[in-house]
Amino acid sequence: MAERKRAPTAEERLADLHRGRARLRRERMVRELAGPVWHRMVRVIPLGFRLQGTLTARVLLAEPAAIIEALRDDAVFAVDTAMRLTHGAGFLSGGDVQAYLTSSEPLARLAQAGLVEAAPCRDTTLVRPWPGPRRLLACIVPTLPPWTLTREGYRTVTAERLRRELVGAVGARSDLFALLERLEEADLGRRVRSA
Amino acid sequence: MTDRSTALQILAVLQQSPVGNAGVLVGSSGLFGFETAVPALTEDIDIAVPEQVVVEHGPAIVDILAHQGFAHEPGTATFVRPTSGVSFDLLGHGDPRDGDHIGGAGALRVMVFEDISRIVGEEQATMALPQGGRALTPAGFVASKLLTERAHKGSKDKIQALLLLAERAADEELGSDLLRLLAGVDPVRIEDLRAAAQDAVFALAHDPLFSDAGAEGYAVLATQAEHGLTRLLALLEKRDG
Repeated sequence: MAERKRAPTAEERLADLHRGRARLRRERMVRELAGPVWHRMVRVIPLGFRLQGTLTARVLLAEPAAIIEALRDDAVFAVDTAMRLTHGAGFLSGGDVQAYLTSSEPLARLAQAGLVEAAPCRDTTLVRPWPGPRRLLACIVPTLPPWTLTREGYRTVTAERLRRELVGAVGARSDLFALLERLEEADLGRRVRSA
Repeated sequence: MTDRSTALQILAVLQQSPVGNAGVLVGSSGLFGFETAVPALTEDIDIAVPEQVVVEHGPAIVDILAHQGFAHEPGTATFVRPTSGVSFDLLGHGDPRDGDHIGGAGALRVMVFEDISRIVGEEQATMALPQGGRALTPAGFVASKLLTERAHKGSKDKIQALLLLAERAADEELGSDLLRLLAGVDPVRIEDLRAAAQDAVFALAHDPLFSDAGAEGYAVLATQAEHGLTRLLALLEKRDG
């Protein structure tokens, strides 16, 4: 029989409760500082990019822009890449390219063209807290998700899905969520002015 | 892993003590009170008993349980049957206006949680079990897990609540009972639970190898958790009007 962990006393249970409450007080302060954006952000259902299909990674042998161009007709760009293509700025700093594909055929084509390594990269962590080479993170899905077209003609996930992917990638980061909202508003303003 | 029959056996043992039929299955073992595929993932069985019973009959409860083969771990509210390794914890419930506190004195002292007191005190939150004793209803279980505040295993609590909401998607009574149970809760705590529920789904979505203590094996249930969160957010929007 496995050795039992010692049961907590009533005092230890109360102390644990107080620790939980103290953490909540800190979280409430962060929430207060974030203002209304926090309330909008916590109403978003996180969407995990990697859970949408089979995730595979390839180390880039060319600039991200060349990879994106080579996948123009195959991919719906996602996560940070979608935000960069749509709004000109992203929320991740790794320089990776994230895309949905319906098969691995484009990966073989890119490898043959010398744009990515042929062998899969074992590190498929989306938000990497350690240094590493830039990667193409491709999520192979049976059907591409709904998309919108950027001015340059790239397919990116819809605005609603991008908000979900952002929260699914980095969690409740009100600074990054606010950045996305500001960029959306700026784009909307530009479209209204040019109409 | 503890199971439903063990939980019911313990309730039966408690019926022989001054607790009688007043013991309520709470915590993750609340899942043993009704049909569900949501895993309890617990080694412990938590049973809430009226604080007053502990105050008045604490030593008698310890003695009677000892005669039934359950040894009391001194200084705790835990009872262990050494022959099988089965154990359970007693918690107290009382007047929620008394807040979180320690109830009883001497041989048996129990933690009395304000939230459990509030939930167990609501009619739609508990139900009598055919074998005796009581258990949380599905709505009572979801409310208690959503309101639980603990630094460790907090995601497990929220995920269990969300999975049950998803599993019973067609159960409208669960939704309306849950809203009634949350009606008197401070709005700031509603925001707490909304954020904690989102964070739990994020944890699953972010890393399939999610390893929150006690929550192994949950990754495959990420989609159900997402459905549960969608339902919860819709219910809370309804609450907010």
